[in-house]
Amino acid sequence: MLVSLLSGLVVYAPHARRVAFGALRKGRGPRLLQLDLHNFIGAVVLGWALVVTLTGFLLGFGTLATGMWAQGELARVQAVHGGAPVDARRPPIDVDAVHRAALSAAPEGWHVTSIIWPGTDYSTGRHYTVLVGGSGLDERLVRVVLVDAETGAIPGTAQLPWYLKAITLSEPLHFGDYGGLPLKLLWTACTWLTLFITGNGAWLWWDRRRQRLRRLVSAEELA
Amino acid sequence: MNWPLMRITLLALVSILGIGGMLLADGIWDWLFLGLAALPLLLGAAMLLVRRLKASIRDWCDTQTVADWE
Repeated sequence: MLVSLLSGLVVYAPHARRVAFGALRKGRGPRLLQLDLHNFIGAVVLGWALVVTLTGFLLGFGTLATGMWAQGELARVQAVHGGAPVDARRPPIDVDAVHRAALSAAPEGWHVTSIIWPGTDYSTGRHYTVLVGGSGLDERLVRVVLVDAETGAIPGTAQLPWYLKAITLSEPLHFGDYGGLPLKLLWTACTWLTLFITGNGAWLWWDRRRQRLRRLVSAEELA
Repeated sequence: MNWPLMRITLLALVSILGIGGMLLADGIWDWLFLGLAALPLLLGAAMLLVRRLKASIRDWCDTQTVADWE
């Protein structure tokens, strides 16, 4: 996708010298009209398409990055904050107390986004893992708070590593779900326009190939 | 520097700035950044409309004769 966007930008330059921005050559055959539409719409959605492509690329590494984090930094935290495991099905500290404890360790105005029970891959046998987030950008860049399931104490908090922050930030930028209805409408319009130029780009390629073949056949017939 | 190419690249950068800005901003700034994000689309639609309008005025002028104005 990135290659097609960048190569499209390169081949746009000679086209833009001949055809003004927004001009559609109607009445001179379907090929020229489709070519103009392809270049015009491509130029209009270029910024959006670059954002969606790059964030999609980062999101592709989401599972791998989470696994890396779980095996690296999280495993270190789990090793440091051990202790006798609790019954994961009935932890001594209930979820309300965990919620309160996690908020007391977070900056003011932050809220709990997820609570992971003890005894999972992302917690310890003894601790809850709580993800807390703020508002705006901080809502996406969550912090991790460990809560002791036996005493309710907070043995430690941690921030996400840079690569997980990048992937976490990629998600809203990829799906466009952070700006309400107006942004969703923009995303929908850009998605349909991109879908259209994908289809019409394929048609332009196929049509050129067909024309070449036709010319080749007529040249052979003449020979 | 190729001006049409630069213009398209600038439009794309403005759009990217708007998309990123909306994630950071709140309140009235949201609308400003939404405007930036949608600027290439709005500009494209405006250009199409202007060209269509110009063409229809030209076509209308072509249908007029001297007799129509006497």
